[in-house]
Amino acid sequence: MTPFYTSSDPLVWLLTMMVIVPFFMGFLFLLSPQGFSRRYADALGLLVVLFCLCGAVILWLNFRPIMAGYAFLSTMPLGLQAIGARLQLGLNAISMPMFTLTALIGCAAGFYAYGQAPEHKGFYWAFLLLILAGLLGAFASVDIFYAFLFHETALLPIFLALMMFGGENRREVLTESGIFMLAGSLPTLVGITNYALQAGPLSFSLIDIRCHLANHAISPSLQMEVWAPLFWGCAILSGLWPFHGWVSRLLTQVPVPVSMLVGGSLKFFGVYFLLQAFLGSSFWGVDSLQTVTGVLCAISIVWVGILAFRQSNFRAMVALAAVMHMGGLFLALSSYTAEALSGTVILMLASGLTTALLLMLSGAVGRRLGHLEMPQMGGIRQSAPVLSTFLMFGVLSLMALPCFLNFWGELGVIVGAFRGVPLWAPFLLAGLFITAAFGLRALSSMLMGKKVEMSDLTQMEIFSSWILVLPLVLLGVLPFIISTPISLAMKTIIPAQL
Amino acid sequence: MAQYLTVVLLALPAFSAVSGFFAGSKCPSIPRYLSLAVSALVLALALYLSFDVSRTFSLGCPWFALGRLCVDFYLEYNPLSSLMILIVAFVGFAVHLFSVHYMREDTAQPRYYAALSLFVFSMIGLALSANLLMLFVFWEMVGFGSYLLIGHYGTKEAGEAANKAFLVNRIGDIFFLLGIIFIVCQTSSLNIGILSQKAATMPHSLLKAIALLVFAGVVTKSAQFPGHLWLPDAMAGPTPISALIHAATMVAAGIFLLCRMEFLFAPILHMIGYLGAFTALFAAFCAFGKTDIKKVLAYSTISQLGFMAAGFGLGSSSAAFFHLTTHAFFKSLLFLAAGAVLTACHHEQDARKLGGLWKKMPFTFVVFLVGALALSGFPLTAGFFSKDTILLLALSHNGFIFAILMLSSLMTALYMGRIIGLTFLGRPESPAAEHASEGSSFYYVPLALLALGALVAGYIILYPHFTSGVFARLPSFPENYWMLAWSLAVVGVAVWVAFIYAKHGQEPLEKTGGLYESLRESFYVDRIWHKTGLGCEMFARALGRTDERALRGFFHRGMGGLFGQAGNFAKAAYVRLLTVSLYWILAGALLLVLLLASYCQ
Repeated sequence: MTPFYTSSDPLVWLLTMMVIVPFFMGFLFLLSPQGFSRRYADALGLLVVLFCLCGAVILWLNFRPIMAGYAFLSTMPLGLQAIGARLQLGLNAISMPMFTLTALIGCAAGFYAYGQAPEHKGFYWAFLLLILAGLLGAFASVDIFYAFLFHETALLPIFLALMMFGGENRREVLTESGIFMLAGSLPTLVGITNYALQAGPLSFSLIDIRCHLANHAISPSLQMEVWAPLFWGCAILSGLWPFHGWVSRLLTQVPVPVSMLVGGSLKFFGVYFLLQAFLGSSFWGVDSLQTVTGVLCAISIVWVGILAFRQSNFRAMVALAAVMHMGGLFLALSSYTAEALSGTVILMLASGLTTALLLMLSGAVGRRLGHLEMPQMGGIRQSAPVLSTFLMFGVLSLMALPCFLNFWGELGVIVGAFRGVPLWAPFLLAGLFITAAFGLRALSSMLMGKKVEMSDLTQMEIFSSWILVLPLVLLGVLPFIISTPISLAMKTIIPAQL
Repeated sequence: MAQYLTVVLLALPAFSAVSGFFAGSKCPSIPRYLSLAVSALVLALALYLSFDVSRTFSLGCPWFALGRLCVDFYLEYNPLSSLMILIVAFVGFAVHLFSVHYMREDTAQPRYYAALSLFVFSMIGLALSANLLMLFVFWEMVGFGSYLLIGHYGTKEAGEAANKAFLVNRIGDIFFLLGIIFIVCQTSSLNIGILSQKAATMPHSLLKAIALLVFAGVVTKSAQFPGHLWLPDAMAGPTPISALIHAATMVAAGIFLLCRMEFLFAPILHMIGYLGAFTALFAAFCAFGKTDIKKVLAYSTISQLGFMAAGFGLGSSSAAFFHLTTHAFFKSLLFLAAGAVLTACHHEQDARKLGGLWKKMPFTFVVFLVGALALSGFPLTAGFFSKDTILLLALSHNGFIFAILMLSSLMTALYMGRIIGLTFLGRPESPAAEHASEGSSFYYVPLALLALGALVAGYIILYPHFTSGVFARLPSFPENYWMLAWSLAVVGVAVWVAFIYAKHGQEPLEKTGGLYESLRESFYVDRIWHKTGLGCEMFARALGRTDERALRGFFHRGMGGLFGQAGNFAKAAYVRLLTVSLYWILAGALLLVLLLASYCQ
C-alpha cells in the first residue's frame, strides 16, 4: 500500500490548494451570503477562479510524471483508512487535461458570472465555487472512492443552483435529474466497491490497485461482474441513449455558468472514470458488453443528433449536441484501441471547451434578446460581430473542422473505432454529417438575414470566450502538444492489449 | 533557402487572414491593402520558385501521434504543386486587384479580404501537402474559406447557398475521410510517396474501395454529377469569388487530387471517364437553359470539370491538368468580365434584361469574347489546345466518350453564343443596360492579364522546362484537320446562335415548353435535394415526438406511474397484511397461552 506521502514541493501544495481554496471560499459564501457586497463577492469569486486557472496552467507546464505515471502526488488520511480510502491527490496524462479543462471552464464561467444575478450574489458564487471544487477534486483524486465522493459533492450545489436560479421548468427537471443521478450513482458505487474488493489490496488508490493487478489479473467472469454496473451507472450519469433527456433538460434549466461546468466538465466524469480507473483491467468486461454498447452508442449518435437538428431553441440544440458526443466517447471506450482511447481524452477536452463556449454564448444571446428561438433571430452578425465570430468558432469546433482540437479527437476516435468496432464506426461519420447539418443551420439562422439590433459582448464575456477558444485553436493547430503525452500515458494504463 | 520560401509562401496569406479577422475592425482599410500586397508577394514568390521547378524538395516536422496513427506536417514542393500554386497565385492576385473596386462599398471588407487570404492559404497548403491527412485538412479549410465567401453578403439566400455548399462537400469529405481511415488501417502511413509504392501490393478490391471513397470527395469538391448541386447556388457570393473559387481554384482541387494520387485511381479509371463525360454533357445542357449570366458560367464550369475528369479517366492526368491550367485563365476572365457587367448594370444578372452592351462596354465585350472563344475551343486560343487534347484522347481510346464530349463541346459553343447574344448584342432591354458604361480602370489590369492568359496559356506545353514534366506525358497525336474543322464549325454555329438571340432579344426555346422547362430547372435534380431536405425535417419532427412521448413518457410518467402503482399496491398489501398479521398475532398469543396452560397442568 502506498505510504502516506507529503512533499515540500510547492507544486504539490498548489494542487492541494486548488481543491481546498474553492471549497473554502464556496462554504464561506454559503455561510454568509449577505456578508459580501455584490462587488466584493464578484472580486473574490474572480480571484478564486483565476487562481485555479493559473494553478492549472502552472501544473500543466511543470507536468513530469514521477510515480506510476502520476505527478504532484500527496496523500492525506481523513479517517477512512479502515476501508482503504485515503485522500490521494495527483495528476497523470489523462487527468491533467480534464483537470485543466475544469479550471478553464471554471474561470470562463466565473468571468461570465461577473455582473450576473444581482440578487443572492453570495449564493451564486457559493454554488459555482463548490461545483468547481468538487470537479477539480474528482479529477485530481488518485483514490477512486474519493473521486466518486468529490463527484457527488459537486451534484448538491447543482441542485441548489437549479432551485434558486433555474429556469421555468426547474421543479420538473430537479425531480428528473435527481432520480437519474441517483440511478447512475448507485450502480457506480456498487461497481467501485466490488472492484476494490476484487482487486485485492484493500485500497481504493489506483496506484495500489494497478500495482497489485500487474501480478494478479482479475478473472474474465469477475471483470464482467465489475464492468456491468459501472458501465450502466456511468451511462446514466453521462446521458447515453436512452438516458439522454435528463442531461439536456438540466443543461437548459440551470444558470449559464453552472451549465458550462455541467456540460463542459461534469458530464464527462463517467467516461473519464471508466477510462482512468477500470478500463485497463476490464478487457473481458468491455468485450462482454461490446454489442450492447455499440447499439446504444449508434442510436445515441443518430437519435440525439436528429433531435438536435429539430431544435429551434439554440441552448437546447447545444445541450443535445453535447449529449450526442457521449455516444462517440462510449463507442471509443468499447473499441479498446490506442487511437480511440487517446482520442477520447482529446475529444473530452475539446468537446468540453466547445460546449462551455456555446452555452456561454447562448446565455449572452438570451440575455440580450430575451429568447433563444433561432428562427426569430437572423442578422446578429451585423449588430454583434464579436459575438458572431465566437459563435462561429464554437459551431465550427463542434463540427470538428480542422484547426480545432475536436478534429484530432474525432479523428483518433474514428480511426480507433474502425479498428476495434468496425460495425458501429460508420455511425461516427454519420454523426459528423448530422452535426454539420444542425450547426450550419444554426449559424445561418442566427447570423444571416435582416439585421437584429442587439449589443455586442462585454469585455468580461469576451475574456471568458477567449479562455475557451484559445486552447481549442492552439491545440488544434499544434496537436502534438497534447497527443504525445496522452499516447504515452495510455500505454502505461493499458499496456497489454495495446 | 528555397525550402524556407515555401514556408513563407504558406505563412504570408495565413498572416494576412489572421490580421484581417482580428485587426480589421479597428482599421478597415489595412486588410484590403495588406491582402493585396500579400497576394502580389505570393505571386512573385510562386513565379520565382517555378523558374526552376526541376527541383523537388520537402521539409516537415511531427504533427500528431496517437497509437499507430502518426502524421507529420510535411510540405513537398514538386512540379505539379508548383504549377498549381502558380495558378492560384495568378488568379488570386487578379481577383484581389479586381476586388479593390468591386467591393469598395462593402461594409465588411476586412472579413472579405481575410477570408480571401484564408482561401489562398488553404489552396497553397493543399498543393504543398505531402501526406493525405494534411491534404484533407487543407481540403476542409478550402471548403470553409468557400463557405465564408459564399455567405459574405449575409442575406438568407447567401446563407442557404453557403450551407448547401458546405453540406454537399461534407458528404464527399466524409467518404474521403473514410478512404483515409482505410489506408491508415491497411498501411499505417499516409505519406503520398510511400503510398504510391504500397498501392502496388494492396489487394485489388481494397484499392478499388479506397479509390472509390477518395473519389467521392472529388465528386463533390469538383462538382461532378451528382455532387454538382452546390456550385450554381454558390453564385450568391460576390462575383470575384466566383472567379477565384468556383472557376479557377477550389473546384480544381479535386482534379489536382486525382493527378496527385494518380496511382490510386487506376482501378476506377473507366468509371471516372464515363462520369466526367456525362457531367460535361449534362451541365452543358443545363447551362443552355439558364438566363442568369453567372449561373450559365457556373454550369459551364461544371461542364469543363467534366472534361477534365473524362481526360483523367481516359488515362492521361497530364491532359486533365492541362485543361485545368487553361480553364483557370479563361473562366476567371469570364467571371470577372461578368462582374464588370453586373457593376455597370446595377447587379442585374438576368441576361434577357441586358443587351447591346458591346457599344457601351467595348473593352469588357472584347475580353468576354476572348474568354468565350477560348472556352469554346477556337483554334489557337488556350482552350483549343487543352480541349482538343482531351477530344483526341477520347477519339483514340473510347468512341462513346468521344461522342459525348463532342456533343458537349458543341453545346459549350451554343450556350456561350446565346449568352453573348443576349448580353452584348442586340439592343438594351432595360434602363440599367441603357445607361451602362465601362467601370473603373482597376478592372482593366486583371481583365487584360487574364485575357492574355486565355490566349497564350495553351502554349505552355511548348516549354517543357517550365512545367518540368507535368505535361511531359501529354499524348501526342498526328495532325488532325477534322478536329480543327470541327472547332471552327462549332464557333461558326455559336456566332449564328448569338445573332439569332441578338435579333429576337428573347428566348426562342420558350415555345418548346417542357423541354425548355427541364433545361431551366436543371432536369429537376435540385428539387430532389430540396425534397430530401424536407423529408429529413419531417423525419426529425416525427423522431422528436417519439422521443417526447415514448421515451420521456415511459421514463417519466410510465416509470413514475409504475412506482406509484407499486407503492399503492405495497400500501394496500401492507395495510391488509397488518390486519391479517394482527389476527395471526392474536392467534399466536392465544396458542401460546394455551400451550403454557397445558404445560403448567
